[in-house]
Amino acid sequence: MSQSATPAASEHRGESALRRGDLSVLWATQWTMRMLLGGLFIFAAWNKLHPASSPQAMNGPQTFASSVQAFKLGLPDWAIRASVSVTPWLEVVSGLALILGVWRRGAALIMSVMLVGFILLIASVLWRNMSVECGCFGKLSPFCPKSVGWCNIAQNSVMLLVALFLTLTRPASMRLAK
Amino acid sequence: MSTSHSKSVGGIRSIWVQASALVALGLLMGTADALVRPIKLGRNTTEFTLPVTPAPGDAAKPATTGADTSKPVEPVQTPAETPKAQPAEPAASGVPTSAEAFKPTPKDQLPKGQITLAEAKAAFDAGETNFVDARPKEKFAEGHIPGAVRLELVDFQNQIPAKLGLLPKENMTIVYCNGGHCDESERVAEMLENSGYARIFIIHDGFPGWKALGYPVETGEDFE
Repeated sequence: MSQSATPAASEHRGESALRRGDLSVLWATQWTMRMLLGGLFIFAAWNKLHPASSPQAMNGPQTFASSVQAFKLGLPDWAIRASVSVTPWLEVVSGLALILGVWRRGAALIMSVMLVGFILLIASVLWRNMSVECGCFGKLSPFCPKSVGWCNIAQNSVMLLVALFLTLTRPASMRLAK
Repeated sequence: MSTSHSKSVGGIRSIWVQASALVALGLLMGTADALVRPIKLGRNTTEFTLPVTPAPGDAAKPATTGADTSKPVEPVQTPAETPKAQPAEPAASGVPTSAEAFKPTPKDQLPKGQITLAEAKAAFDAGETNFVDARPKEKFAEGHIPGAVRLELVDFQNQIPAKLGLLPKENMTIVYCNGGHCDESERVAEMLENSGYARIFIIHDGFPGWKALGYPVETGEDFE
């Protein structure tokens, strides 16, 4: 009985192995992307939130507020205060959720929406021919020049693709992959 | 078919529920942070007045140095690398040629806290004025107002720039960048105000305007 079913069974086993291999690749891809994107968001948030080293020095939120004002969006003060206070914490919450694998698709969706917003903001600066420091990673600018430009749009677009991938694909289970 | 459809609808709904919960958590934490560390926006602005009435023959007095008439200020250490000032070369008519194409912004069109090039020049001539260049290092090297100290927004992040030692707090402080859409001077002015400087003004037309009017310019590298 088992011998007569051998060709079909081995074909099935082959398919399963192939599927397991696909799942392993998907799991590894998703895991790497989660760590990278989540880590970048937490790094960016820390640079906007860190405390001041002394009473006279500027803390992260105050410096970030200056960066946001520099974009000259015509927003009322309450909207600037709200965006300065909430944006870094949204980055922390979504970054942690992505790294820990808790509500990861929801976290990736938040990141996608934020990244679309950042891209539009930078595009508006370029459109208005302004010279503005990004403030994306606080005083650091690890991937692009300090003044916002096309490099920042490219950087955020790559991050947006990763965030969309994580939003749209079902999380691969490690158990299934093995 | 209908099962997979309802599964996918359920999946999308759960993503939205997750995202909403995370946003609510972020809002909560952001609000708490804002209550603990209130954010100050903008800066205080005062009417521009010259520190002292320029006396005849005082025009060549160097900016950023000198003492207040009422209280003495420690002399400012000028860096060894500070280059010599290059006096502007006016055209034969007395008006610089580059100024013919450039129209300074009139006083009544300036936002609060910003000054005209003529006011900046008057303060330069009067002395007892700190000039702060908020442009990048390369632009500073190409040319800047004599005696200006270069400071950028990032210099203030989480630290007090050592260069503030060169700028007496009793003096009026004038910040400039590239004029027009350049916003760095406004940000640096806010940081200076938070660092204890009281009378801070921004040259609306920035360094390009200063240069176009043939006012004194010096070149050379910034010191660190």
